[in-house]
Amino acid sequence: MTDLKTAQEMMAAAVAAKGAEDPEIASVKRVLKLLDKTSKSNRTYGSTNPVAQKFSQQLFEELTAHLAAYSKLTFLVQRSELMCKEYVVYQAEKEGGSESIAFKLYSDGIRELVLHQGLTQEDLMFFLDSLWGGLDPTKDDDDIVTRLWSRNLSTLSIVTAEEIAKASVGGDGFIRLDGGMNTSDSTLRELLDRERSRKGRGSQGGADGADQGANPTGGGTGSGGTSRNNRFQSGLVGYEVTEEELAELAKEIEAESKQDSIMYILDMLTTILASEKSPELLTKLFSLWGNIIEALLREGKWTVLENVLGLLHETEAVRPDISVEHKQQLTDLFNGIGRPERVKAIETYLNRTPNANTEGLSTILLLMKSEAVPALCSLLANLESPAHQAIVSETLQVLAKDHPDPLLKGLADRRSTYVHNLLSIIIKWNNPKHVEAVEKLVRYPDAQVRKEVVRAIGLFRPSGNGMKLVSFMGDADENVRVAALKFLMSGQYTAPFSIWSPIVSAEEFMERSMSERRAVFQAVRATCGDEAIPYWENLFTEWTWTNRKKKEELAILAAETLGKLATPAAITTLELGVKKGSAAVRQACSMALSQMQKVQRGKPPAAASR
Amino acid sequence: MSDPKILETPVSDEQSQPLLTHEKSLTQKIGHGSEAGDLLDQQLVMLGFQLITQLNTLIKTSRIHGRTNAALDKPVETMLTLIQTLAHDQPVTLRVQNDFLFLGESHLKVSAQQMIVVSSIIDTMNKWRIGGLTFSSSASSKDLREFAYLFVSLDPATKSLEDFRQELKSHDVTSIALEDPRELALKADVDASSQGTAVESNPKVTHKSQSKAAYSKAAGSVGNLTQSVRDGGTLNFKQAKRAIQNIVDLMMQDEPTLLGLTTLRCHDQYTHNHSVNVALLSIALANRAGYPKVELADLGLAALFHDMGKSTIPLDVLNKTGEFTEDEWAAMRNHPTEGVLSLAQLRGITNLPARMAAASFEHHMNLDYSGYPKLKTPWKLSLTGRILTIADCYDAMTSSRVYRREPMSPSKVLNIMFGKSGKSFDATLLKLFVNCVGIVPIGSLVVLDTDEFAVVLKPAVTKTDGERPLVKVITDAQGNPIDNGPELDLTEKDDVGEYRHSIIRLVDNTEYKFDTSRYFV
Repeated sequence: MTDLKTAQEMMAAAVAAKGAEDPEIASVKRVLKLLDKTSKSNRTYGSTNPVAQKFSQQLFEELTAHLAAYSKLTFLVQRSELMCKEYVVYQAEKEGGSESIAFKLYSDGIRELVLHQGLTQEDLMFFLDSLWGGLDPTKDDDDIVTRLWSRNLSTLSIVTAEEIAKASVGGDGFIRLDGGMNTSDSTLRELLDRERSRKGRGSQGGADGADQGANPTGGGTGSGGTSRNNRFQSGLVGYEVTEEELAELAKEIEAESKQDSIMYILDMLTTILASEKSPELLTKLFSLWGNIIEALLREGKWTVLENVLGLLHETEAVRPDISVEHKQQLTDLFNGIGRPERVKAIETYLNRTPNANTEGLSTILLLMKSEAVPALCSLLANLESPAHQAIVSETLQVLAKDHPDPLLKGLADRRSTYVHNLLSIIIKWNNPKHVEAVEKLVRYPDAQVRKEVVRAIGLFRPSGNGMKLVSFMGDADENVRVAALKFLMSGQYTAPFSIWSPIVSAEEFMERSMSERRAVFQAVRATCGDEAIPYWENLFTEWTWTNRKKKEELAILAAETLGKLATPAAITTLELGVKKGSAAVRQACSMALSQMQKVQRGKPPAAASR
Repeated sequence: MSDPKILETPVSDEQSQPLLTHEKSLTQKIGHGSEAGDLLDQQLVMLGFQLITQLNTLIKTSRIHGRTNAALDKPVETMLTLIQTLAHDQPVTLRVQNDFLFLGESHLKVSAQQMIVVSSIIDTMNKWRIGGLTFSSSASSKDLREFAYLFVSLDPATKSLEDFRQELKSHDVTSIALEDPRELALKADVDASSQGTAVESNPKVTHKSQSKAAYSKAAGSVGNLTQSVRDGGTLNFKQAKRAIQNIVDLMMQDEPTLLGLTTLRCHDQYTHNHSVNVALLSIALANRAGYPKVELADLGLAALFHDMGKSTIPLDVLNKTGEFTEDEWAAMRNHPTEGVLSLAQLRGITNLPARMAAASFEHHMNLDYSGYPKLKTPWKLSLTGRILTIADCYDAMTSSRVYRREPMSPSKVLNIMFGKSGKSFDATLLKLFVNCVGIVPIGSLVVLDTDEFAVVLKPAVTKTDGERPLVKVITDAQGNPIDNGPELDLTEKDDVGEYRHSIIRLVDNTEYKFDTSRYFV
């Protein structure tokens, strides 16, 4: 009975203990939950996102409070759990795998992690970045352990499983003795015997064969003998390093740490280029320059590359002795600057770095040969920033002028920005030969492109047949139509009224703005002249059952247009309108006639009689 | 129970080919008798994971098909190939400590994708409370089948690990051993236990053990990357970086112990002691010159790969015992430039640390540019290059390798180097270097005024006591070798103020081909 009671009491105590969780464990759990949340939000939204920043702040506050209370936070790592004082304080979600903090630490072999009091927010963010490798994705030489080590944080320490395994069991697979020398006792015995016999001789005639200590002054003695007076003396002079010497070294260390690694190595390679005699090494060096060009393009180091290419340009002057093969390698280097994969590297960098410094890029692109034009077109098509596109456009304007085919083919591309950029280049060339390629774009889906096409047609065909321009009258975009009308109104183009007729007769024509309809009539006047008069006459006289107001508006605009046409046939038609039109039409025709007379009177006699 | 028909399946080269895609380099190394610790890290990880995968398959297949079914053929054959590759020199152990997997002493890093298989093995081993599985190269198809069958047919709930061992024994399986479970202690516990007085928990012993492990890791990573260059592969410094960071930490705690390891001289190119020695000596010297801790690791990494240019020289030339031909000398003289070009090619110029390029390019140049490569345009020697020149020369001359056929004693080498102070070597750095290795350098063999022979373990702390280092006595006054002789601090004085012990003479151990490294490792 007593046993049962005791057991019951123990059970009750266990349940009570379970209910009242250790406050430290509860605090660790809270911290780790926030750590998990912060990590996830940082990875999902980026660390600058307000949500991620809110979590980061909460985590820092919670962690600081924990460290203030308990001075440190230690946890042990297992494959899917973190433990603190034998309690599970963090568990990975199922299928969480690589997303789990526990696994991240585990997979890098980290067994223990300790965060100490004094951890700053910056340290904490560095730790999070280290966990997910967000510091520099190009540096794959680092893992969590090496990253944290490099930061030398006093507030964060880690213990790796390997380290603790060795310390726990004293594992030592280290047996690597000198193959050329021996360690056996027999050798030692031999050494001793020979030393002893030497010593015997030495006591008779000096310390033959004795080794000497290091001696900067050459004043050391290695005399043998057993008396204290004969003991070894190194002649200790000149080993002291002065404060000045140390200060000088400190300066050098600082300078070395700050040096630009790429420039230093380039200097080294330049020196090798100037000095190396071995043909094999020169061959390797020249092929290395190719890699360097690629690497610098990948990293967007345009000015450095500009220097490199400038330097390579002078190679033959510096090394007139290089072989024909090496000269060919050099030529190939210059010819290969614009290889598709290299241009692709530029694209990747620029799209990854919208605010990239583009100084020197233009020079690099202009050093490419015309063979690079297709790749450059592709670059122009794929670049996202208008500023970057502009640089490539400028290059293509120069490089592709005599090799325009890739650009003309590119006009069929569906990417409107690209086609727009191509059109801009083609317009700048101002070569009428390209008009046919441009004219194929009259129905291009993008209005901006169509507008640019109008501009191009206007440029390449400044006069003559205006049929292509008239074809824009059916364009869905008013701006495009207006752009075409401006050219058609100029008086430089002709077009039969048969092309205009379906446009001006269509019902939707009446729905267009007054200004556009006026412009159309002016364009008709400019391209057809008297040929359109029957149409306008009909507007004065037709009996309208429907849409009377709109048709009357057209008739008024027709009167205005005829007034400007001012040919005898136009005058006759206006006079007809004055007689037969509606009141508004009559008034408009009268006004047009009187305006015309005013203009005639204002003109010099010769012009008026014409 | 019927007598099972055990299949002894010979493993052909063809069968092993697809599995060991890295085989060429590994077998080449093994074929030349390299140490097991020198196995390439990346390959080790790959092979380790393959071993786990095949073991997992073997166990699962055995659970369904018993031990003789043809379904076991493939996992057995593959495992045998792996075991014969990994256990060529010494048995290989797959170990679980807590949740961490080790192959030998090396932690096996696993990816998320590999975790399913790894978890299965860890859980299976934990169920049996097996700490490790050791396979020796004599393992046969029968052994593996028996082992797997027993593994799945015995019940860990009713049978102990000892029962399992007995069963293996009764089935004549001697090539597979089961280790007791081992737990990873907490760091704090390890540190606390090392405060004790027992020899095995002595902090010095622990530190030495850690230093040796770091040394091995560094040597392994150099081997790995050198082979990678030979094979035209890529260069990833992750492993090397960890090893060097570890070395920097240990160096900060106890420099002499690490420098003691540099007494391991290098005599062939399959071991990479020279590179590690140069790294250790460079780090120690740079530390005294005032390099910050993080930059020490950068310099150490550079030093570790200073001889990368030799990776393009055929091994038979590097290990040639006779004189070099003119062409061979030319190749040797080209290795600094070759190294820069190889590193720049494999790493890319934007990813190559300047110090690493400098270490390779300048380590034979000499302060007065009397060395090689010879340059036609002005070039300023970097601090890194000047440090490397000293460290490389010291280790090369004390080793019986490439440039000298016979090694020289450390003290002789220092004397020679001092003769060239300000000419070949930077005078300030050379003085600092002597402070590192000691006026009577670490590893020197000395005769004491008691007629005892001793080896120098550690330079004296103060410069005024330069000729009074810490030594270890290795013989008695009669010349009888002593194991575990006392360590004597030669600065200690007796009651009347006289030094208790003094060096009377240095002995050129290299003349007798006597290696003092045994007292450091």
